[in-house]
Formats: sequence, structure tokens, C-alpha cells
Amino acid sequence: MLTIISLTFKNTFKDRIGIIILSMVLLYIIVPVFSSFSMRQLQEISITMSITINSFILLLLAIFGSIATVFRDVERKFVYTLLSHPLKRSDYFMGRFIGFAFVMLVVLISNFVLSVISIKICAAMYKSRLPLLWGNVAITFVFSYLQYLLLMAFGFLFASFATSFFIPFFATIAIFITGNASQGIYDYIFHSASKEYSELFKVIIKAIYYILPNFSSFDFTVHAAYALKISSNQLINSFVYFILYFTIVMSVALIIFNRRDLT
Amino acid sequence: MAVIQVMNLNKTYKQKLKKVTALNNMSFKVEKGQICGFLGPNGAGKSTTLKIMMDLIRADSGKVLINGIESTRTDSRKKVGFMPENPPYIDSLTGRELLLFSAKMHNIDYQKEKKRADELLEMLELSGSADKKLRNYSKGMIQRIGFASTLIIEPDLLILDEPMSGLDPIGRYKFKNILKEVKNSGTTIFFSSHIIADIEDICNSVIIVKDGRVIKQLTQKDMKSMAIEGYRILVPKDVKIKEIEKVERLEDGLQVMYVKRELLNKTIHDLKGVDIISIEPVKKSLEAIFVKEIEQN
Repeated sequence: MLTIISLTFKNTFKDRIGIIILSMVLLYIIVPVFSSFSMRQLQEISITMSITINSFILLLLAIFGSIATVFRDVERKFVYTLLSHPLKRSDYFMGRFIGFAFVMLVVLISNFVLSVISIKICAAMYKSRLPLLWGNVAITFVFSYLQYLLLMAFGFLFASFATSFFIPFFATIAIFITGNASQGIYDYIFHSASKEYSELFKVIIKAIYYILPNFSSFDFTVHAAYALKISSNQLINSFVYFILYFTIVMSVALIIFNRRDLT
Repeated sequence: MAVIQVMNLNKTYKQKLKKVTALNNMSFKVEKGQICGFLGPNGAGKSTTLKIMMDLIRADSGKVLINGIESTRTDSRKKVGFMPENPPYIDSLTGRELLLFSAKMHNIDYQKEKKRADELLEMLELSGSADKKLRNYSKGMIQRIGFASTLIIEPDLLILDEPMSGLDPIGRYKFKNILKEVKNSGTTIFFSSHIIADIEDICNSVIIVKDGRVIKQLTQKDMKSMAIEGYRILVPKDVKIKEIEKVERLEDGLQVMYVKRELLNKTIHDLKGVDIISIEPVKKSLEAIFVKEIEQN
């Protein structure tokens, strides 16, 4: 598996699309520029922008992850030569995932370093009333990494059976959108507009809510930007949620890939 | 001992609404140390069988044993080199990287793999392109580097799918010689082809398949005995024997007698005391045998 992890890691940095996505770290240049448009909230805006840019780059990588590895290997028949070695399919599949997860980790770390620089520049330009809690910023980055690992796991799930590029590509995007919207919809139906909907409808929505991933539980942007306290319970719940959901998605993906005919 | 045992394989593919039978109770054995050709027309089930051997696709029923281990187990692919048709390799790798990657996948010692990679690149005349990316290789070069990647693991068994399809005549000639050398080192070679001349030149045994099943399995002895239709015996002009099918008189006081295979011993007995100049077999090509078997089935 280590050889596959290393192959994936090295090849992503050689891949043209990979390089284009990785070059997006240059977007951090715009953080001080755009933050300065805000007269008094430079620090808050720079934190929000840095986290948003990081999320955007990780989102592209998470979508690209399964397409550039498992899907491409099957489509271009690279699996014929990779799996003809004494290598278990599950080791190949996990090796590809972990290799790409390492790429995302390297990107995350470089994004964090660039964010620290950008935020420091902005914080120095106008002194904010709020303290700058680096711990909160770091937690936000770590949990956004978990969020996009989970999204990439969905990409790998779709790639495990896909015969067309569109399935892993659009289905991963759809999961991202629904995963971010699910908490909002749930809150609206069960709190804001609770009386307007029937009990049956609520049961259905509740079931869907529990099936779909809830990405908002990984989002600590507001806590980072406005120096709000993050409870350890929140962190533990989100982490356990990630572990459980991730294990289920990857297990299903592995079962499907193990049974698949690689024609 | 059988290195490959294919037992009652069945495989059906679903294509849109209809089912296509790729393998229909396919069974055969390949003995250790042979070069065995897997011959059949397009769509006979050759590639499907090879993919099942490498566990790339799963049979509906039946099984394959490689060195006694079921092909669905990873252990069965230890010391097995596989080269698929038009070998698809990750094209961002260089030729050398591909060889080192293959060696790593088989846990070969780093120093040994580096040395062996250089030797193989030299042997297959790829030293000059060793550090070029595979996307810049020609079809013949891909075929050769693919073959090198199967040899770097020092295989006990080589499974090759149409290995000579991308090679020019000189390349084919050299490739056949390398195959013979590899065989002499004790490696069993099983390769599919629909080019009869390739198989006829180098194989000890041939398995002929059609419609997903074996229609004929020939050993080298079978091939030789089936291939010889009769003999041409060169003798002086004045010799006369009854029951000779055909005689051709030559200008320099000689004649050629054509005798059927089963009459050779009797003819030689009849020619006792005659100065026999030469006896040559009249061969039927494997192509003729193949066409006859395919038509009969």
C-alpha cells in the first residue's frame, strides 16, 4: 500500500490539473487587498477570506481526488497493470485515497501558513476590538480538512462503480451542496416553519437529514473570525461524526470496488 | 506439475439488454517450463480468461489455480509477470520509474532492482529512453518496457496478452529470441495471440479456443506429428517402387518420391540397398491445423 500512496502523492504534483489546482494558493495574495476594502473589520474579513480560499481549494481537490485516481485508473485501464501485482484491491483503493489525502494535507498546511501571513498583515493594518485566537483558526482549518476528506470519500464511493466521468464529478458536487444545506433546511422545517409542515413530511425530512452528511458541523469559521469559544463537546461530536460517517462511506466503497469487474 | 489450471470457467457479460457468453466451460492446464500459446479468433475469450487469471474480472463459476493457489488470492500473483494487450501504464512515469515501481510491488531489494533495471533497459534497447516519460514512447517501446517490467520481478510465470502486436518484424524476431531465453531460465510462459506464426515459432504447446471453450490442446509432439503430412525422399533416377503416390524427375539423374507419413517405414524398407540422398518432411502449417479445427467446430 505504501508504494501506491507514494505513487499517488508524487503523481499529483506532476499532473497538469493537479498543478493548476495547487497554483490556486496564489489566491492568498488577494486577501490583504480585498480585506482593506472593509474599513474596520480587516482582521475578521481576512480570517473569513483565508478560510474560504482554503475551503475552495480543498473542494476542488476533493472533487478531483477520485477522478484523478481510481476513476482514471479504471477508465484508462491502468488498473490492469497496477492490480496485476500481488496487491489487494482494498490496499490499492485505500492507497490511492491516503496518497491523495496527504496531498490535501500538504496543501492545507501551506494554506494555513499563507493564511497566518495574510491575517497578520491585515491585523496590523487596523487593530480589531476582538482578540485574534490562532487556536480557533487552526481548529477551523483542521475540521475543514476532515470535511473535505469526507467529501472525497464520497467521490471514491462514486468512482468505485462509475463508468462515466459525470457520476463521480456531479454526484460529489451534489453531495457537497446537500451536505452544506441539510442543517439549514432541517432548522427551517423543525424550528422556523414547524407548523407549516405535516408530521409525515417531517419524518421523511428527518430520515434524509440523518442519511445525508452534515458538513455544517465541521464549520467553525464564525468562531475563528469573531473569537467565539469552541466547546470541547462540539469538537468531540464533530470528530466522532466524521469517524463514523467516513468509515461507513469507505466501507461501502471498498465492498463495491472489490466486487467490480475491471473490464 | 501444472502451473496454470483453468477449471470450468464460465463468464457472461451484460451488454445493454442482451447477455453475451464470453466463456463457456473453459478448462485447460499449462505445465511448468513450457511456452504455451493461447490461440483463437477475435472474441474467442482469450483476454477474458487472462483477466480472470489476474483477478481483474470474476468468473460466474469455475476457478483458476496458479501454482496451486486460487487466482482470487493475492498470493497467486507472486512471481507472476503480466502484460495486457496494448499495455496501459501510468504515462507520467518514466521507463526506469515503471521498472522500479514493478520491482517495489514485488518487494525486491533496492540495489538489486536498480541493477536489474539497467540490465533490462540495455537488453531491450531502451537505455536511451529510460528517463523519458512513457507518454513519449512509441507503441513498440511501450511493449518492450512493459515486457521489461514483467521480467524485473524474475517471474516463475509470464502471462502475456498479444505481446507482439505492436512490434515491427525486427522487434518480433528479437522478442521471440528473448522469450526463448526466458523460457530456458525455467520460466513458464503463457501468451495469447491470434498471429499463428508467432505461436508456431516458439511454443511447446498450443491451446486453441473458440466461442469461450477449448476446442483443441496440442503438445509439441502433437503439433509435430499433425504437421507432417508425408516425406520427400531424394533417390537416384533408376529406383522404382510400387505404391509411391507421386514421383518428380529431376535433371541431374535424381528423382523425388513423395510418400505418405504412414508409409515411410515401409518405403525405407523397400529402398534397402538404395543410395538415399535425403529425406525431408512435408509439413502442414499450424495455420492449416488451426483453420481446420475452427471450421470443424
